[in-house]
Amino acid sequence: MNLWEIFQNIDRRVWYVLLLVSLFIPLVRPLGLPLSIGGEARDVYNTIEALPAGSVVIVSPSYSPGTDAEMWPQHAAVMQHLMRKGCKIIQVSLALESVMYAVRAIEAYAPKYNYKMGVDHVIMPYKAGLDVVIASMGRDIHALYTEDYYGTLTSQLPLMQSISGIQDIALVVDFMPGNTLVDYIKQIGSVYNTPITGGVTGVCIPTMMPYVMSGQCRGLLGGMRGAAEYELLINSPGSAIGGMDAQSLSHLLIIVAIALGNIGLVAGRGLRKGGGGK
Amino acid sequence: MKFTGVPILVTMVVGGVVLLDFFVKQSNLILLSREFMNWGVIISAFATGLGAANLLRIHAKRTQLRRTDWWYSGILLCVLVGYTALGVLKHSSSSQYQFVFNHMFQPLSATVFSFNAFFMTSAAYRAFRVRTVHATVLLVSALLMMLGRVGIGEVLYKDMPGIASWISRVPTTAGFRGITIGAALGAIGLSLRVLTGIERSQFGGTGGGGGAA
Repeated sequence: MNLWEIFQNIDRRVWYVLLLVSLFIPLVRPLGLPLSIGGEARDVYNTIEALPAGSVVIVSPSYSPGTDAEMWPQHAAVMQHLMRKGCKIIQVSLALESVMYAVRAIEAYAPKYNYKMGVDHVIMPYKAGLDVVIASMGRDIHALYTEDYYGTLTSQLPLMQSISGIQDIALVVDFMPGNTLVDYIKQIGSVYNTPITGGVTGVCIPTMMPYVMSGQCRGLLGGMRGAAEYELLINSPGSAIGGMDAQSLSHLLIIVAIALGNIGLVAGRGLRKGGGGK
Repeated sequence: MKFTGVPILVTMVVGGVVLLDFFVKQSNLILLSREFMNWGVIISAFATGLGAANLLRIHAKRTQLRRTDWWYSGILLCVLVGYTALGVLKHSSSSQYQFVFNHMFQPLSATVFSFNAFFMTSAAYRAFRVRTVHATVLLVSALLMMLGRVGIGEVLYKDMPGIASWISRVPTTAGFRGITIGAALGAIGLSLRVLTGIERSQFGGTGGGGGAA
Protein backbone atom coordinates (compact mmCIF):
# COMPACT_ATOMS: atom_id res chain seq x y z
CA MET A 1 0.00 0.00 0.00
CA ASN A 2 1.55 3.32 -1.08
CA LEU A 3 1.14 6.67 0.74
CA TRP A 4 -1.87 7.76 -1.36
CA GLU A 5 -3.69 4.55 -0.61
CA ILE A 6 -2.95 4.98 3.10
CA PHE A 7 -4.49 8.49 2.90
CA GLN A 8 -7.66 6.96 1.46
CA ASN A 9 -7.95 4.11 3.93
CA ILE A 10 -7.26 5.52 7.39
CA ASP A 11 -9.02 3.37 9.97
CA ARG A 12 -12.21 4.92 11.36
CA ARG A 13 -10.99 4.34 14.92
CA VAL A 14 -8.13 6.80 14.27
CA TRP A 15 -10.72 9.46 13.41
CA TYR A 16 -12.76 8.58 16.50
CA VAL A 17 -9.74 9.13 18.76
CA LEU A 18 -8.72 12.36 17.00
CA LEU A 19 -12.29 13.67 17.24
CA LEU A 20 -12.43 12.88 20.93
CA VAL A 21 -9.15 14.76 21.48
CA SER A 22 -10.26 17.74 19.33
CA LEU A 23 -13.47 18.02 21.36
CA PHE A 24 -11.80 17.54 24.72
CA ILE A 25 -8.88 20.00 24.49
CA PRO A 26 -10.91 23.21 23.88
CA LEU A 27 -13.33 22.26 26.65
CA VAL A 28 -10.41 22.07 29.08
CA ARG A 29 -8.40 24.98 27.61
CA PRO A 30 -10.66 27.37 25.64
CA LEU A 31 -9.01 28.80 22.54
CA GLY A 32 -10.93 32.09 22.48
CA LEU A 33 -11.63 32.00 18.74
CA PRO A 34 -13.52 35.02 17.33
CA LEU A 35 -17.28 34.88 16.81
CA SER A 36 -19.21 37.41 14.73
CA ILE A 37 -22.94 37.90 15.18
CA GLY A 38 -25.09 36.92 12.20
CA GLY A 39 -28.18 38.70 10.91
CA GLU A 40 -30.64 35.97 11.88
CA ALA A 41 -29.64 35.98 15.58
CA ARG A 42 -29.71 39.77 15.62
CA ASP A 43 -33.27 39.69 14.19
CA VAL A 44 -34.42 37.45 17.06
CA TYR A 45 -32.74 39.80 19.54
CA ASN A 46 -34.31 42.92 17.98
CA THR A 47 -37.76 41.28 17.94
CA ILE A 48 -37.58 40.57 21.68
CA GLU A 49 -35.90 43.89 22.43
CA ALA A 50 -38.84 45.71 20.78
CA LEU A 51 -41.40 44.08 23.12
CA PRO A 52 -42.83 46.38 25.78
CA ALA A 53 -42.47 45.26 29.40
CA GLY A 54 -45.39 43.09 30.47
CA SER A 55 -45.92 41.57 26.99
CA VAL A 56 -47.13 37.98 27.12
CA VAL A 57 -44.87 35.60 25.21
CA ILE A 58 -45.34 31.90 24.50
CA VAL A 59 -42.05 30.00 24.79
CA SER A 60 -42.22 26.49 23.41
CA PRO A 61 -39.28 24.23 24.20
CA SER A 62 -40.08 21.35 21.83
CA TYR A 63 -36.82 19.46 22.15
CA SER A 64 -35.60 16.35 23.92
CA PRO A 65 -32.27 15.42 25.60
CA GLY A 66 -30.73 14.23 22.31
CA THR A 67 -30.50 17.83 21.11
CA ASP A 68 -29.91 19.34 24.54
CA ALA A 69 -26.39 20.60 23.68
CA GLU A 70 -27.68 22.83 20.90
CA MET A 71 -31.18 23.70 22.11
CA TRP A 72 -30.80 24.33 25.84
CA PRO A 73 -28.28 27.22 25.46
CA GLN A 74 -30.69 28.90 22.99
CA HIS A 75 -33.63 28.38 25.33
CA ALA A 76 -31.67 29.61 28.36
CA ALA A 77 -30.40 32.74 26.59
CA VAL A 78 -33.84 33.74 25.27
CA MET A 79 -35.47 33.12 28.68
CA GLN A 80 -32.91 35.42 30.30
CA HIS A 81 -33.56 38.11 27.72
CA LEU A 82 -37.36 37.86 28.13
CA MET A 83 -37.08 38.05 31.91
CA ARG A 84 -34.70 40.99 31.70
CA LYS A 85 -37.30 42.73 29.51
CA GLY A 86 -40.04 41.99 32.06
CA CYS A 87 -42.14 39.88 29.68
CA LYS A 88 -44.73 37.43 31.01
CA ILE A 89 -43.89 33.90 29.88
CA ILE A 90 -46.18 30.96 29.10
CA GLN A 91 -44.11 27.82 28.46
CA VAL A 92 -45.84 25.09 26.47
CA SER A 93 -44.36 21.68 25.70
CA LEU A 94 -44.95 19.80 22.47
CA ALA A 95 -42.41 17.04 23.13
CA LEU A 96 -42.85 14.61 26.00
CA GLU A 97 -39.54 15.42 27.67
CA SER A 98 -39.49 19.15 26.95
CA VAL A 99 -41.56 20.11 29.99
CA MET A 100 -38.49 19.22 32.06
CA TYR A 101 -36.56 21.92 30.22
CA ALA A 102 -39.32 24.42 30.92
CA VAL A 103 -38.98 23.60 34.62
CA ARG A 104 -35.19 23.78 34.40
CA ALA A 105 -35.30 27.24 32.79
CA ILE A 106 -37.57 28.54 35.52
CA GLU A 107 -35.48 27.02 38.31
CA ALA A 108 -32.34 28.52 36.75
CA TYR A 109 -33.52 32.09 36.12
CA ALA A 110 -36.80 32.86 37.93
CA PRO A 111 -35.16 33.51 41.33
CA LYS A 112 -32.67 35.95 39.78
CA TYR A 113 -35.39 38.02 38.09
CA ASN A 114 -37.94 37.48 40.88
CA TYR A 115 -40.44 35.77 38.57
CA LYS A 116 -43.47 34.38 40.36
CA MET A 117 -45.36 31.32 39.20
CA GLY A 118 -48.83 32.10 37.89
CA VAL A 119 -48.15 35.84 37.87
CA ASP A 120 -45.05 36.27 35.71
CA HIS A 121 -44.78 32.81 34.22
CA VAL A 122 -46.77 29.63 33.72
CA ILE A 123 -45.64 26.15 32.70
CA MET A 124 -48.26 24.19 30.80
CA PRO A 125 -48.32 20.39 30.78
CA TYR A 126 -47.35 18.28 27.78
CA LYS A 127 -50.11 17.75 25.23
CA ALA A 128 -49.81 15.15 22.49
CA GLY A 129 -50.70 16.03 18.91
CA LEU A 130 -48.11 18.60 17.73
CA ASP A 131 -49.82 20.74 15.06
CA VAL A 132 -53.29 19.82 16.39
CA VAL A 133 -52.21 21.23 19.77
CA ILE A 134 -50.83 24.37 18.10
CA ALA A 135 -54.06 24.85 16.15
CA SER A 136 -56.10 24.36 19.35
CA MET A 137 -53.87 26.88 21.10
CA GLY A 138 -54.81 29.39 18.45
CA ARG A 139 -58.53 28.63 18.63
CA ASP A 140 -58.91 28.60 22.43
CA ILE A 141 -55.87 28.43 24.71
CA HIS A 142 -58.06 28.38 27.84
CA ALA A 143 -59.99 25.32 26.66
CA LEU A 144 -56.75 23.54 25.74
CA TYR A 145 -54.99 24.20 29.03
CA THR A 146 -57.43 24.00 31.93
CA GLU A 147 -54.63 23.18 34.42
CA ASP A 148 -50.96 24.14 34.53
CA TYR A 149 -48.14 21.63 34.94
CA TYR A 150 -48.52 21.65 38.73
CA GLY A 151 -52.27 20.99 38.58
CA THR A 152 -53.47 24.54 39.38
CA LEU A 153 -56.55 25.61 37.45
CA THR A 154 -55.42 28.09 34.81
CA SER A 155 -58.60 30.11 35.41
CA GLN A 156 -57.13 30.96 38.84
CA LEU A 157 -53.78 32.16 37.51
CA PRO A 158 -53.47 35.96 37.14
CA LEU A 159 -51.31 35.60 34.03
CA MET A 160 -53.89 33.46 32.25
CA GLN A 161 -56.71 35.73 33.42
CA SER A 162 -54.93 38.64 31.74
CA ILE A 163 -55.22 37.11 28.26
CA SER A 164 -58.39 36.35 26.37
CA GLY A 165 -56.78 34.38 23.57
CA ILE A 166 -53.96 34.15 21.08
CA GLN A 167 -54.56 37.76 19.98
CA ASP A 168 -53.05 38.88 23.33
CA ILE A 169 -49.82 37.01 22.70
CA ALA A 170 -47.05 39.38 21.60
CA LEU A 171 -44.65 36.71 20.36
CA VAL A 172 -44.20 32.94 20.06
CA VAL A 173 -40.66 31.57 20.48
CA ASP A 174 -40.23 27.90 19.60
CA PHE A 175 -37.11 25.78 20.06
CA MET A 176 -37.31 22.74 17.86
CA PRO A 177 -35.19 19.97 16.41
CA GLY A 178 -38.16 18.91 14.25
CA ASN A 179 -40.95 20.71 12.52
CA THR A 180 -42.91 22.55 15.22
CA LEU A 181 -41.62 26.01 14.27
CA VAL A 182 -43.14 25.54 10.80
CA ASP A 183 -46.37 24.36 12.47
CA TYR A 184 -46.46 27.54 14.59
CA ILE A 185 -46.02 29.63 11.45
CA LYS A 186 -48.80 27.74 9.64
CA GLN A 187 -51.31 27.43 12.47
CA ILE A 188 -50.73 30.67 14.42
CA GLY A 189 -48.46 33.11 12.55
CA SER A 190 -50.34 32.95 9.24
CA VAL A 191 -53.85 32.77 10.76
CA TYR A 192 -53.65 35.29 13.65
CA ASN A 193 -50.66 37.43 12.53
CA THR A 194 -48.84 36.61 15.76
CA PRO A 195 -45.08 37.14 15.35
CA ILE A 196 -43.14 33.88 15.41
CA THR A 197 -39.45 33.31 16.01
CA GLY A 198 -37.29 30.55 17.43
CA GLY A 199 -34.26 28.36 17.35
CA VAL A 200 -33.39 25.13 15.56
CA THR A 201 -30.61 22.57 15.47
CA GLY A 202 -27.87 23.13 12.89
CA VAL A 203 -29.25 20.53 10.48
CA CYS A 204 -32.70 22.20 10.45
CA ILE A 205 -31.42 25.61 9.31
CA PRO A 206 -32.01 24.96 5.56
CA THR A 207 -35.61 23.88 6.28
CA MET A 208 -36.32 27.15 8.06
CA MET A 209 -34.49 29.62 5.80
CA PRO A 210 -37.41 30.11 3.33
CA TYR A 211 -39.59 31.19 6.28
CA VAL A 212 -36.89 33.50 7.63
CA MET A 213 -36.30 35.09 4.22
CA SER A 214 -40.03 35.65 3.71
CA GLY A 215 -40.33 37.31 7.15
CA GLN A 216 -42.75 34.67 8.45
CA CYS A 217 -40.12 33.75 11.02
CA ARG A 218 -38.57 36.81 12.72
CA GLY A 219 -34.94 35.71 12.68
CA LEU A 220 -33.55 32.35 13.68
CA LEU A 221 -31.07 30.88 16.12
CA GLY A 222 -29.24 28.11 14.30
CA GLY A 223 -27.53 25.40 16.33
CA MET A 224 -24.88 26.07 18.92
CA ARG A 225 -23.53 29.02 16.94
CA GLY A 226 -26.95 30.72 17.09
CA ALA A 227 -27.01 30.20 20.85
CA ALA A 228 -23.44 31.53 21.20
CA GLU A 229 -24.31 34.62 19.13
CA TYR A 230 -27.34 35.23 21.35
CA GLU A 231 -25.26 34.86 24.51
CA LEU A 232 -22.97 37.56 23.10
CA LEU A 233 -25.94 39.78 22.23
CA ILE A 234 -27.36 39.64 25.75
CA ASN A 235 -23.85 39.80 27.23
CA SER A 236 -24.30 36.62 29.23
CA PRO A 237 -21.65 34.05 28.23
CA GLY A 238 -22.82 30.48 28.74
CA SER A 239 -22.25 26.93 27.58
CA ALA A 240 -22.68 27.75 23.87
CA ILE A 241 -19.74 30.16 23.71
CA GLY A 242 -17.70 27.56 25.60
CA GLY A 243 -18.73 24.84 23.17
CA MET A 244 -17.95 26.81 19.99
CA ASP A 245 -14.19 26.23 20.25
CA ALA A 246 -14.77 22.47 20.48
CA GLN A 247 -17.05 22.67 17.45
CA SER A 248 -14.40 24.70 15.58
CA LEU A 249 -11.70 22.10 16.13
CA SER A 250 -13.99 19.18 15.28
CA HIS A 251 -15.02 20.88 12.01
CA LEU A 252 -11.37 21.49 11.25
CA LEU A 253 -10.63 17.80 11.85
CA ILE A 254 -13.42 16.77 9.46
CA ILE A 255 -11.99 19.15 6.84
CA VAL A 256 -8.53 17.65 7.30
CA ALA A 257 -10.04 14.15 6.96
CA ILE A 258 -11.83 15.10 3.75
CA ALA A 259 -8.69 16.78 2.39
CA LEU A 260 -6.50 13.72 3.09
CA GLY A 261 -9.01 11.38 1.44
CA ASN A 262 -9.15 13.57 -1.65
CA ILE A 263 -5.40 14.14 -1.87
CA GLY A 264 -5.01 10.36 -1.80
CA LEU A 265 -7.68 9.93 -4.45
CA VAL A 266 -6.38 12.58 -6.87
CA ALA A 267 -2.69 11.74 -6.40
CA GLY A 268 -3.40 8.02 -6.69
CA ARG A 269 -5.37 8.63 -9.89
CA GLY A 270 -2.43 10.65 -11.33
CA LEU A 271 -0.05 7.89 -10.39
CA ARG A 272 -2.15 5.24 -12.15
CA LYS A 273 -2.45 7.41 -15.31
CA GLY A 274 1.31 7.90 -15.30
CA GLY A 275 1.80 4.16 -14.97
CA GLY A 276 3.29 4.38 -11.49
CA GLY A 277 0.58 2.39 -9.78
CA LYS A 278 0.61 -1.24 -8.79
CA MET B 1 -64.95 -5.63 1.28
CA LYS B 2 -64.06 -3.63 4.37
CA PHE B 3 -66.62 -1.50 6.20
CA THR B 4 -65.16 1.96 5.67
CA GLY B 5 -68.31 4.03 5.13
CA VAL B 6 -68.58 5.42 8.68
CA PRO B 7 -64.87 6.41 9.03
CA ILE B 8 -65.03 8.13 5.63
CA LEU B 9 -68.17 10.00 6.67
CA VAL B 10 -66.57 11.05 9.97
CA THR B 11 -63.46 12.22 8.09
CA MET B 12 -65.59 14.22 5.63
CA VAL B 13 -67.64 15.92 8.34
CA VAL B 14 -64.76 16.69 10.75
CA GLY B 15 -62.33 17.71 8.00
CA GLY B 16 -65.00 19.75 6.23
CA VAL B 17 -65.96 21.67 9.39
CA VAL B 18 -62.36 22.47 10.37
CA LEU B 19 -61.56 23.50 6.80
CA LEU B 20 -64.69 25.67 6.49
CA ASP B 21 -63.84 27.39 9.78
CA PHE B 22 -60.82 28.96 8.08
CA PHE B 23 -63.01 30.64 5.45
CA VAL B 24 -66.43 31.19 7.07
CA LYS B 25 -66.68 33.06 10.38
CA GLN B 26 -69.91 31.64 11.78
CA SER B 27 -70.21 31.23 15.58
CA ASN B 28 -71.66 27.68 15.60
CA LEU B 29 -69.08 26.55 13.07
CA ILE B 30 -66.28 28.06 15.18
CA LEU B 31 -67.56 26.30 18.32
CA LEU B 32 -67.89 22.97 16.51
CA SER B 33 -64.43 23.36 15.01
CA ARG B 34 -62.88 24.11 18.44
CA GLU B 35 -64.59 21.03 19.83
CA PHE B 36 -63.20 18.86 17.03
CA MET B 37 -59.71 20.29 17.64
CA ASN B 38 -59.92 19.38 21.33
CA TRP B 39 -61.03 15.88 20.34
CA GLY B 40 -57.92 15.72 18.17
CA VAL B 41 -55.71 16.45 21.20
CA ILE B 42 -57.56 13.81 23.26
CA ILE B 43 -57.24 11.21 20.49
CA SER B 44 -53.50 11.99 20.17
CA ALA B 45 -53.08 11.48 23.94
CA PHE B 46 -55.03 8.23 23.70
CA ALA B 47 -52.83 7.08 20.80
CA THR B 48 -49.72 7.76 22.95
CA GLY B 49 -51.22 5.62 25.74
CA LEU B 50 -52.12 2.92 23.24
CA GLY B 51 -48.52 2.94 21.99
CA ALA B 52 -47.21 2.47 25.54
CA ALA B 53 -49.72 -0.36 26.17
CA ASN B 54 -48.66 -2.07 22.94
CA LEU B 55 -44.99 -1.73 23.90
CA LEU B 56 -45.79 -3.29 27.26
CA ARG B 57 -47.67 -6.19 25.64
CA ILE B 58 -44.96 -6.99 23.06
CA HIS B 59 -42.06 -6.88 25.51
CA ALA B 60 -43.95 -8.74 28.24
CA LYS B 61 -44.51 -11.56 25.75
CA ARG B 62 -40.84 -11.54 24.68
CA THR B 63 -39.73 -11.71 28.29
CA GLN B 64 -42.25 -14.43 29.14
CA LEU B 65 -41.19 -16.63 26.19
CA ARG B 66 -37.45 -16.00 26.87
CA ARG B 67 -36.81 -15.00 23.25
CA THR B 68 -33.33 -13.92 22.07
CA ASP B 69 -32.02 -10.96 24.12
CA TRP B 70 -35.17 -11.10 26.26
CA TRP B 71 -33.37 -9.33 29.11
CA TYR B 72 -33.37 -6.09 27.11
CA SER B 73 -37.15 -6.35 27.02
CA GLY B 74 -37.11 -7.02 30.76
CA ILE B 75 -35.08 -3.86 31.41
CA LEU B 76 -37.44 -1.89 29.19
CA LEU B 77 -40.43 -3.18 31.15
CA CYS B 78 -38.85 -2.35 34.51
CA VAL B 79 -38.01 1.20 33.40
CA LEU B 80 -41.39 1.75 31.71
CA VAL B 81 -43.40 0.56 34.71
CA GLY B 82 -41.08 2.05 37.34
CA TYR B 83 -40.83 5.52 35.80
CA THR B 84 -44.56 5.64 35.05
CA ALA B 85 -45.31 4.64 38.66
CA LEU B 86 -42.94 7.33 39.93
CA GLY B 87 -44.66 9.94 37.76
CA VAL B 88 -48.15 8.85 38.83
CA LEU B 89 -47.41 8.48 42.55
CA LYS B 90 -45.04 11.43 43.04
CA HIS B 91 -45.90 13.64 40.00
CA SER B 92 -43.41 14.51 37.31
CA SER B 93 -42.46 17.74 39.12
CA SER B 94 -41.16 15.77 42.12
CA SER B 95 -37.44 15.79 42.88
CA GLN B 96 -37.24 11.98 42.50
CA TYR B 97 -38.76 12.05 39.00
CA GLN B 98 -36.53 14.96 37.98
CA PHE B 99 -33.47 13.22 39.42
CA VAL B 100 -34.04 10.21 37.13
CA PHE B 101 -34.59 12.53 34.16
CA ASN B 102 -31.65 14.87 34.82
CA HIS B 103 -29.10 12.29 35.97
CA MET B 104 -30.02 9.18 33.98
CA PHE B 105 -32.26 9.74 30.97
CA GLN B 106 -30.81 13.08 29.86
CA PRO B 107 -27.11 12.04 29.90
CA LEU B 108 -27.86 8.64 28.33
CA SER B 109 -29.95 10.16 25.57
CA ALA B 110 -27.41 12.91 24.87
CA THR B 111 -24.59 10.32 24.80
CA VAL B 112 -26.38 8.13 22.26
CA PHE B 113 -27.08 11.19 20.08
CA SER B 114 -23.47 12.37 20.35
CA PHE B 115 -22.28 9.12 18.72
CA ASN B 116 -23.46 10.77 15.49
CA ALA B 117 -20.44 13.09 15.59
CA PHE B 118 -18.09 10.09 15.37
CA PHE B 119 -20.06 8.37 12.62
CA MET B 120 -20.34 11.63 10.68
CA THR B 121 -16.58 12.23 10.82
CA SER B 122 -15.91 8.74 9.49
CA ALA B 123 -18.70 9.02 6.88
CA ALA B 124 -17.52 12.47 5.69
CA TYR B 125 -13.99 11.10 5.25
CA ARG B 126 -15.23 8.21 3.12
CA ALA B 127 -18.07 9.88 1.19
CA PHE B 128 -16.78 13.35 0.30
CA ARG B 129 -14.55 12.44 -2.62
CA VAL B 130 -14.15 14.49 -5.81
CA ARG B 131 -15.25 11.69 -8.15
CA THR B 132 -17.76 13.73 -10.21
CA VAL B 133 -18.58 17.41 -10.82
CA HIS B 134 -21.71 17.11 -8.64
CA ALA B 135 -19.71 15.57 -5.80
CA THR B 136 -17.16 18.38 -6.09
CA VAL B 137 -19.86 21.08 -5.87
CA LEU B 138 -21.30 19.32 -2.81
CA LEU B 139 -17.86 19.02 -1.24
CA VAL B 140 -16.94 22.68 -1.78
CA SER B 141 -20.25 23.99 -0.43
CA ALA B 142 -20.03 21.63 2.57
CA LEU B 143 -16.50 22.84 3.35
CA LEU B 144 -17.54 26.49 3.10
CA MET B 145 -20.56 25.88 5.35
CA MET B 146 -18.50 24.00 7.92
CA LEU B 147 -15.86 26.74 8.07
CA GLY B 148 -18.43 29.54 7.99
CA ARG B 149 -20.33 28.19 11.00
CA VAL B 150 -17.35 28.12 13.38
CA GLY B 151 -14.85 30.62 14.74
CA ILE B 152 -11.84 29.03 13.08
CA GLY B 153 -13.35 29.94 9.69
CA GLU B 154 -13.17 33.60 10.65
CA VAL B 155 -9.54 33.18 11.67
CA LEU B 156 -8.70 31.73 8.25
CA TYR B 157 -10.76 34.28 6.29
CA LYS B 158 -12.77 37.06 7.89
CA ASP B 159 -15.63 36.95 5.35
CA MET B 160 -16.17 33.20 5.74
CA PRO B 161 -19.40 33.59 7.80
CA GLY B 162 -20.76 35.88 5.07
CA ILE B 163 -20.08 33.24 2.42
CA ALA B 164 -21.81 30.57 4.50
CA SER B 165 -24.72 32.91 5.12
CA TRP B 166 -25.05 33.59 1.37
CA ILE B 167 -25.12 29.84 0.61
CA SER B 168 -27.78 29.41 3.26
CA ARG B 169 -29.87 32.42 2.23
CA VAL B 170 -29.75 32.17 -1.57
CA PRO B 171 -29.19 28.74 -3.22
CA THR B 172 -30.35 26.67 -0.24
CA THR B 173 -33.46 28.79 0.29
CA ALA B 174 -34.29 28.66 -3.41
CA GLY B 175 -34.03 24.86 -3.43
CA PHE B 176 -35.97 24.37 -0.21
CA ARG B 177 -38.68 26.80 -1.26
CA GLY B 178 -39.29 24.72 -4.38
CA ILE B 179 -39.41 21.52 -2.32
CA THR B 180 -41.76 23.13 0.23
CA ILE B 181 -44.17 24.41 -2.41
CA GLY B 182 -44.16 21.05 -4.16
CA ALA B 183 -44.79 19.21 -0.89
CA ALA B 184 -47.60 21.64 0.01
CA LEU B 185 -49.31 21.06 -3.34
CA GLY B 186 -48.99 17.32 -2.77
CA ALA B 187 -50.42 17.68 0.75
CA ILE B 188 -53.41 19.64 -0.59
CA GLY B 189 -54.06 16.95 -3.20
CA LEU B 190 -53.76 14.15 -0.64
CA SER B 191 -56.00 16.00 1.85
CA LEU B 192 -58.70 16.41 -0.80
CA ARG B 193 -58.46 12.71 -1.66
CA VAL B 194 -58.83 11.78 2.03
CA LEU B 195 -61.71 14.22 2.57
CA THR B 196 -63.62 12.96 -0.45
CA GLY B 197 -62.99 9.31 0.44
CA ILE B 198 -60.87 8.53 -2.63
CA GLU B 199 -57.74 7.85 -0.56
CA ARG B 200 -58.28 4.85 1.74
CA SER B 201 -54.78 3.66 2.58
CA GLN B 202 -55.32 4.85 6.18
CA PHE B 203 -57.73 1.93 6.60
CA GLY B 204 -54.96 -0.56 5.90
CA GLY B 205 -55.58 -1.06 2.17
CA THR B 206 -53.47 -0.04 -0.79
CA GLY B 207 -55.22 3.33 -1.24
CA GLY B 208 -56.48 4.98 -4.37
CA GLY B 209 -59.12 3.36 -6.48
CA GLY B 210 -62.06 5.62 -5.97
CA GLY B 211 -64.58 2.78 -5.82
CA ALA B 212 -67.49 2.63 -3.41
CA ALA B 213 -67.00 1.36 0.11
